[in-house]
Amino acid sequence: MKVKCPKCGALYQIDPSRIAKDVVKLRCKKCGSIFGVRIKRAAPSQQQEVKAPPVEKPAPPPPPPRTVLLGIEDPERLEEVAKALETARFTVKRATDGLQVLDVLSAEKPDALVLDVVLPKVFGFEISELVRKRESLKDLRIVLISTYNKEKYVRPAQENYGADAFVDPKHVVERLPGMLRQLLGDVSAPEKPTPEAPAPSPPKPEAPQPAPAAQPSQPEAPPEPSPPPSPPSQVSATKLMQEQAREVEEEFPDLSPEQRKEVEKAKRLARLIVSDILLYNPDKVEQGVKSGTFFTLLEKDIEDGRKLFEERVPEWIRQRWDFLTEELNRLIERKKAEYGIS
Amino acid sequence: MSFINYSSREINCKIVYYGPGLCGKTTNLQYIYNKTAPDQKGKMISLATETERTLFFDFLPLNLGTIRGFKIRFHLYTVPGQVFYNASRKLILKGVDGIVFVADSQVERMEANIESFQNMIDNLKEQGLSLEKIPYVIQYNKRDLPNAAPLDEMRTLLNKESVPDFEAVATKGVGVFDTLKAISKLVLIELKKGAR
Repeated sequence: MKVKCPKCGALYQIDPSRIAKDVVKLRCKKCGSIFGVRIKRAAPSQQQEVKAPPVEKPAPPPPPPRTVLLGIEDPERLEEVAKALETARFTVKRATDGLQVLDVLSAEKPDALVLDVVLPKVFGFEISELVRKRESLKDLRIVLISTYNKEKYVRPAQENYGADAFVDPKHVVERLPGMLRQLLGDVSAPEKPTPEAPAPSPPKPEAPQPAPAAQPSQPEAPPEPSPPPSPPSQVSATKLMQEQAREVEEEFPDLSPEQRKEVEKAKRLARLIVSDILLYNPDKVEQGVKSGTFFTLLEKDIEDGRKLFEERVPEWIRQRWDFLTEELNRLIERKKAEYGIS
Repeated sequence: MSFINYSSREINCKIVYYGPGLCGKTTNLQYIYNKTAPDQKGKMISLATETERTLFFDFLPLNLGTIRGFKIRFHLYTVPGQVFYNASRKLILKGVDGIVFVADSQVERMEANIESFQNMIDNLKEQGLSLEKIPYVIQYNKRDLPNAAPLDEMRTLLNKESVPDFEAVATKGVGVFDTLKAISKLVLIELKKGAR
């Protein structure tokens, strides 16, 4: 099947028979953007590797016994999530800080690890990184719980810390059991994955990693929690911005360097306005993209944004290009790809 | 400009939390409000919509003891972060004594951080102020997110003057009081300088 990068339009050919999952993430070789692709399958009869589903479905077999190690700081919350998992027939081991998690992991091997990103003593994402470096724990499935409900800005956890999935704290109780069964291969993937549902990413090149640092001992200083060590991020904002500047250079070769700077500024402002519209109106954006009423639903915000754009962008640019509309359309395309709308 | 009321022997200072949309300014204030003893704080006023956007400002008065018989009261404000509400931001900056610039650590929000920082400089300039005259600190918020930019990079992009800066996870309170303490200290030092 053919896939098109929603950002730059580059076309790629992929072979669905070589991909096990229904949704994959691809990184565009041309522009570097990451986008989701729903794999279109041929009819089951044409697929040799697909296990024939039973014609009549008897009662589903009980799920295999699975042990989950759950690390959440707040004991009440820990109990709430643990109960939800136990109801779904998981055996749950509990921990309220990162050191306890590592203690349990040194003695036994659960099937999955569910960790709050900010765990006292050792952060959840640090544990995820440590686990991925241990050969004996390589099969362990890891789900991180984020503090924030900003899915659109949260890159897949697996890209950065080797986790398998990321779950929004607001939906842990209802989504986690299903997500774990799916990750552990106890059930097949759902028809339509949620934005947080685990999605495979292209294999990462194994970068040489420095030896794991000694456990950061977080001095306990109530009432204020200790400052966190910086996450060893692999993403670079400077690089991202340099790429954007290079794009402008390539796109407008006939402009003078000063003019290009103005264009770059105008494009940046358009991106900011659109990202603010999305940040503050996630539901309207979703509804608008799905129902084709994006411009009507967000009329007021778009108008405010356009006013600012006109105030700040020189006329010679506005007469030649409409970067704001371009950026809005780009957002719609990106969201369509995310929701699987063609 | 701090407001000194000699009859009631009170010094009022205005601290503004500035930064891009949804970077955590209101969250900082809410955490401070929740962790401060009732006798030390006034009522927190939030002019926000149901979608959590700060339309005008949040306001939190804090009592910080006395200096030479004068009660020190800090008034904490936030600005609306959304790029198109600049008129409100300008208004709130009037008479500011200290600024906390809250940056969103997510790589995707770096442009928004830089834009907001520049916007702050421009808005101060319109009032004849500059960051050389106003004490300010920087808070790198949302450090728990996997897509957080490296600290060094954030420093290079946002903290060219090497002012005090702090990593934070405001929803958990991490770094919130460190930031407040630092800006309070700088404002009080400035106040002392002015009293000489």
